[in-house]
Amino acid sequence: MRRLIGLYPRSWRDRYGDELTELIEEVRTDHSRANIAWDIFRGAITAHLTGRHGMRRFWSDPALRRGFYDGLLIAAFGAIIIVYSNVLAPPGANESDSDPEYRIQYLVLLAVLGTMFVAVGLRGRLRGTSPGAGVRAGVVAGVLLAVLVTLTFVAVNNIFLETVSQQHDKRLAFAASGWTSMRAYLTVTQLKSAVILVPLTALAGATAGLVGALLAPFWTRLRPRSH
Amino acid sequence: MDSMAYSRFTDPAILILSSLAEMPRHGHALYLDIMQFAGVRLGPGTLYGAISRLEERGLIEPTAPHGRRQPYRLTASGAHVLREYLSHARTVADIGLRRLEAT
Repeated sequence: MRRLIGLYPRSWRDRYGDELTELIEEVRTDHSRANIAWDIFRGAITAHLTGRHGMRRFWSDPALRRGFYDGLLIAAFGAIIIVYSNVLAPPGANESDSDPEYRIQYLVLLAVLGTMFVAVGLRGRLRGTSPGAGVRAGVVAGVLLAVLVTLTFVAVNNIFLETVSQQHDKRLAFAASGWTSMRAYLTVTQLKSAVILVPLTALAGATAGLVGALLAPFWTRLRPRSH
Repeated sequence: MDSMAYSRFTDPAILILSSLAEMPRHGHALYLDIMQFAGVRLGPGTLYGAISRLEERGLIEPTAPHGRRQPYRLTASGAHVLREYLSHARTVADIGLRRLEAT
């Protein structure tokens, strides 16, 4: 049962964990073990979703809120790029992502995204009290970007499969994969890549967010003051 | 249809407030009292989930601990909310019972 109590938010455990443990000991003969386990599990989920120990805590942190909204904006920018480059102006049938022309485009895109995340960290820091606020904003924006970009790719791959399946790299990868359905192959591959993408963008967001947070004092000095 | 499912107040928050209306109680005392007056055995997670929400809303508050036990008591705001709720429930119950008797 102690492991199940570990599912509660830490601040909730700090406040009520000992009392709950004691009550479980006192009532264990009145309930089946499975009933108590289910009751504790449900309670932990509820504690995460509600109250000051759960999601409300997330929304009460201005830096996290900033990261969330900025992450949405960056993800919208990413979605436009994805739709444009895969559907509206897809690469030619023999063009590869590794062609020098595309490599330069990717580098430019990475630089733009990096700048955006530094700005997220700076904005988060301006709403918080320490550089950690910038890091938190960057992490939230990074995770949100990874999740929404993955969902955008899955949607685009499925809705515009006929166009997407003509891409050189995708055709080669599919042929070598042994899969029989291009749609299933693209969807599963995209979802699998999220397992790596989410922690990677969280780390990148944290790093860029820290840079932004460290730049915040200089930004404050440079910014023209309104009267 | 299981008529027992409709024959008892089962909202943990109301049960806790009603129990604390009598005197301050800790978790286990609340559990036993609710079982006695309402016939409901609340799960430990359900009981403490409701305690945390009630405390957060200022309807109950902790009192001085008794050893390892943490008693809670009703606040003025909690007493007001409970009175409002029960008065409303009594009005609805009276009307419902009257209508049943008339049929």
